[in-house]
Amino acid sequence: MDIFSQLAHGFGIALTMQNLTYCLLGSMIGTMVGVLPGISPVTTIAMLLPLTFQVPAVSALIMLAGIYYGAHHAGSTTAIMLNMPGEPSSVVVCMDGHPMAKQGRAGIALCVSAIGSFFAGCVGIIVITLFSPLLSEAGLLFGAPEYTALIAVALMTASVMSNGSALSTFGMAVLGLLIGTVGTDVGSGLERYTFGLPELAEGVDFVTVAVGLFAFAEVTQHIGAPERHGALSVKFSELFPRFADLKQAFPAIFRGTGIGAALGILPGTGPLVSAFVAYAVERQVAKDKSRFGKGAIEGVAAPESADNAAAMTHFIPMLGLGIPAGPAMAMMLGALMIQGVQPGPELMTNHADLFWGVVASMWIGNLMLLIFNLPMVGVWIKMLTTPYRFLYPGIILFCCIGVYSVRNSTFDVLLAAFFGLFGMVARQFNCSPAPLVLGLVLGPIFEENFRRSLTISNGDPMIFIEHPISAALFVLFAVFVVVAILSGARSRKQKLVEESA
Amino acid sequence: MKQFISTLAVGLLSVAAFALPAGVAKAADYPSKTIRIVVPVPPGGPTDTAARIVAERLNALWGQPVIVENKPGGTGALANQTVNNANPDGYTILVGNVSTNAITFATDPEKTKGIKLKGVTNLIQVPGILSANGDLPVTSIQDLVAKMKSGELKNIKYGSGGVGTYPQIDMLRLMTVNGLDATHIAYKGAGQILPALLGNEIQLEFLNEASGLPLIRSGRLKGLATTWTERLPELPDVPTMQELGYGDIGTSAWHGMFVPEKTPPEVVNKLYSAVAGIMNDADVQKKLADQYIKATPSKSPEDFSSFVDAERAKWLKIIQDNHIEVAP
Repeated sequence: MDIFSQLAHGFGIALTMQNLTYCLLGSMIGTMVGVLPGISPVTTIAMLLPLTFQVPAVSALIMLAGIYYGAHHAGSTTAIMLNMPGEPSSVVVCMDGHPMAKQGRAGIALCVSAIGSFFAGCVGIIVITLFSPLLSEAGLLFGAPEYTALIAVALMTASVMSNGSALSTFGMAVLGLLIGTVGTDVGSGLERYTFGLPELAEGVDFVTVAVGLFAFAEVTQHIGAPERHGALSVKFSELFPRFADLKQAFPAIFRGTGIGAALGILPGTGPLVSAFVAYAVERQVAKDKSRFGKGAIEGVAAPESADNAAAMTHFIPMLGLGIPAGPAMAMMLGALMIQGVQPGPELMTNHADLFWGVVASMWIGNLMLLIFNLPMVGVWIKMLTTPYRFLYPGIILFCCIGVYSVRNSTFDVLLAAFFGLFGMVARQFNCSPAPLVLGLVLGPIFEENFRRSLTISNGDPMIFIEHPISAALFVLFAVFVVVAILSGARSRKQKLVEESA
Repeated sequence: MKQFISTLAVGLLSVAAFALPAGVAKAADYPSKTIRIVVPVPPGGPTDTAARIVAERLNALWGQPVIVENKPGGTGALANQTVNNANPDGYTILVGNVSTNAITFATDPEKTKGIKLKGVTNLIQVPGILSANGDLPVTSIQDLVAKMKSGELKNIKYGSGGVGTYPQIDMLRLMTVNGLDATHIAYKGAGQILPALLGNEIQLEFLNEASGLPLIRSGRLKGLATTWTERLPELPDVPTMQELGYGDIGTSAWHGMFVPEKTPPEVVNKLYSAVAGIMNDADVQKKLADQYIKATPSKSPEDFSSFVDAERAKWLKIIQDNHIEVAP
């Protein structure tokens, strides 16, 4: 087998002392970045980029890639422990991960997410190893109409993103869509809702909103609360999952991995969208939907697996065609170019050492991450025994650094504070922040592609049906709408029956 | 401490004895603290690369920390304002480009009217390639124009980063001078444009050399013309836009260094000689050439300033002549 001999050759490169060290360094930095709320892998890669000029291209990419997938691996830690996403795509894990921690099942949640991440990472790498050239082509099948349809389907998932009333969920999602319209409109160059502030011209950054709504709002929850000796005062009944837990989690891990691996290939979506979709799917297939939002293990396993599978397959457009799918990938491409390596369709053949070395290092890095994360579970649990007065100021500090570093803007820090205030109020009214985040992320992608499709077709909406993939996705969308209406009607009827009885 | 006192004494003496403006006293010991280079774009891409290479070398040369700060926002508005309002002491520097420091001055006079920056030197230029989807049945621009005129090619679409960006203006002008019409589709950055061009959602695009070249070499894209002043060594068979008689249509984006207007000339000159030296260094040029970037330092700060003025006038005329309207 050609691929195996090449992969073996790759391991030969990845296992040299130097590359092994860079892989370890990357995974370690990634884990740290993932754990610290607010500090994202993009910022870290930007900061470390100049340092990589001095090392060979393979080692540089091995380290930068390690930071990227390492952060995705570890991002769920604070989401579970503190209800603060350590890294944007862990927003979804908060929803069931933190309730699990509150029930004293933090250890189980952390273990399941570590195992899920590892499994998903492995599958992601297998996909990269076997199908990179093929799938980078497949990603090109997605043009503007296809993305429009895909995002329409993904937006449907907003309805299951909270346990609140339909009105509050819908309201928060719409608010997210509205916030997403702030900034310069690509189509016309028009600045919308920026109030003449150049700080808003690039739109409201997702990290700013997530830090405000989750981290800051969570901290404010504890103002005036009686001082406890730990952030959570429950007993930790179990640290490691039992067989029953794993049996429940594994199907979710499989589904999440599949969704993540597929959506990660598309340059326009990626880890965060995959995590949202995986969570929604899990909720749809579950027999007892009421468990979600209250600590369902599948609600941790599926989005975490999707996130990590997508983080891996997101490398495919970059390695296969030289397409920068997202800011982190753009910087890794930059790092390669500074080294004199031309990314593009010929990377795999012209720089086989680099390609296979990096792929092999992903296996090693993924294993390292599992080794870091599993024994760390105990340490993280200890973290919860730190009194608030020590823990939270530190968290606020890191969040501010993280938000500031996204684009070196003090304005963004103030904006995050504003969203913190808003999040605090929203919690009082039982409005979950997740639908808002979903709207904020998906809204701009939807609008952009919708308008682009119509420009391409000269205003003819038939374009969405003429393209087969988009047509199929819109059929799926229609099915979801009908099912939602029917099941809504049924549950209302049931309620009426119960009430009359 | 001793050194501090002597510095202080020299400073006081020069102020007292010669009654010179304080700026000169500062210029003598410039640089004595951290220098900040503000960049109007996110990390990655040629502007950022140029700034980082200069920062690294200045640090080695002067022993002072040099920090690169990315401040994207409003096509350079945020970075321009930051540097414009900074102390004119040479410690806050802007690395801007043709979009942020020439074209926006024409498209958005309102937002740029308060911006008064002094040019230090040009740093780099990035050649562009007029690229077509590999399956588009054309062999050259002449062929493209003929087939579009005869109606053999219909519904041609081209991409850009939005109305008022140079790839859009250049393509619009190319179509206009040939009496042709093509649909413009706006994308956010290379991450969206490349898949669209490869997936045939758009057929034409002015790409910078670094993005276009590997795809042209692999046959996925076709290079129809380059925007450089002479043929690119990597693509000896692809003619330049000038050769084809298109004059100044097609942009090789320049990226240069600016400081606040009131920065003392001594500081500007010191900065200029250091940076020009860096850009003329063989090692730096090799590093840039590896990324298909040309090092093009100016002859003097004045030379660069008049170049920028000429660029602004040129783009203002182009935008007026072509009735390009960018919403404010």
